Amino acid sequence: MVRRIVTLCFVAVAVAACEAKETFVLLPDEDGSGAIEVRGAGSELLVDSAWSAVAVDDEGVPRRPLLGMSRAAVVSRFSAVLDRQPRPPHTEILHFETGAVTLTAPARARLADVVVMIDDRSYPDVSVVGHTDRAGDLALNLELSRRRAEAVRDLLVSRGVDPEVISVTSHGESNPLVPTEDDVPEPRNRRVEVIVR
Amino acid sequence: MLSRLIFELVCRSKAAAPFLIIAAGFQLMTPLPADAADWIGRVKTLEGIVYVERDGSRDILSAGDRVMLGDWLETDGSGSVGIAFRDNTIISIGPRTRLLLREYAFAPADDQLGFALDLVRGTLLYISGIIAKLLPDAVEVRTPASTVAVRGTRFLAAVEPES
Repeated sequence: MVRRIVTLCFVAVAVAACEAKETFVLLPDEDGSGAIEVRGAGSELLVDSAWSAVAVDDEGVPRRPLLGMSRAAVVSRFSAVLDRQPRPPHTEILHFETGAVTLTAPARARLADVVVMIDDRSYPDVSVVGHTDRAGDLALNLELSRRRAEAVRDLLVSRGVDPEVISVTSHGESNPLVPTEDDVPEPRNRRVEVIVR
Repeated sequence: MLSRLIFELVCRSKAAAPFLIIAAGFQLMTPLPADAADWIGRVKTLEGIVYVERDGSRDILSAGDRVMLGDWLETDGSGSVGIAFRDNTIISIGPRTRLLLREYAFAPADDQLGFALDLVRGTLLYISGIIAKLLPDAVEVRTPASTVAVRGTRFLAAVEPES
């Protein structure tokens, strides 16, 4: 009788992460851990704490495994993808003299560091992206931000960066550093970002 | 109490070089030129054998190659690869994995944002980038049984192959 109860207890244990058809594990991030929502078979499960796992059973339903995966088990099972994780991108934010296409002096100095960073990466690609704030004329802002981005690109090339790895765009006001209401000036948003991947 | 998982060791073989031979009746893809405007990401890390399928051709992928929207990536038992996309989204896949780069749009000034992957089998690491930051709802990772939505984050996924 006792043995039968013990057997039933094992059978009743929800699917363990290691035996599931599909497994998802939320990882810690720089700003906390964010969240993932797993949907399947008409069901959904939100997970928002780091190292939590979701195991999808044979019916396709996402579940929290009763017996979760330890951090060591996760790292071991996913060792190949974790070992192959590319280096995080580096973003340098550059500001300009008011209304001009000239970098401020501190920005010029940091650009030199960026060139070293590009050299340091295998298979780099570099985005030079102009941004505006939400004040003033949209077309003029876009034009100025593009010219600024092109000026930065030209500086990088003049310092030996292969132009083939550089792409130049403008995000206009769509990707602000500091979100604002429309028509609000915000100098911190009037910038060029150089992103090295 | 739990049976221990048996984890396979990843073979640390050298990456294969891309083949550029064109033979009669059978054409291999050439690597995507860097100035082709349509590329969406670049291979940063690679071990073992990794294939890319594009426009009906299948070729060996190398570190430094660029990938395009619609590419299928497939690894054998030794392969793994890491890719960084234009918007800083990062993924890597492990051995015995098959993945489709199903959707990619990154033009914030034109309100074009989208990122979608289909993980058919294998393992995946996903780290969110600017697309997820600007529009979390624009990101989707699909597996045979599930759809995963993200809120600016990183996660791992494992899909057992159909037996």
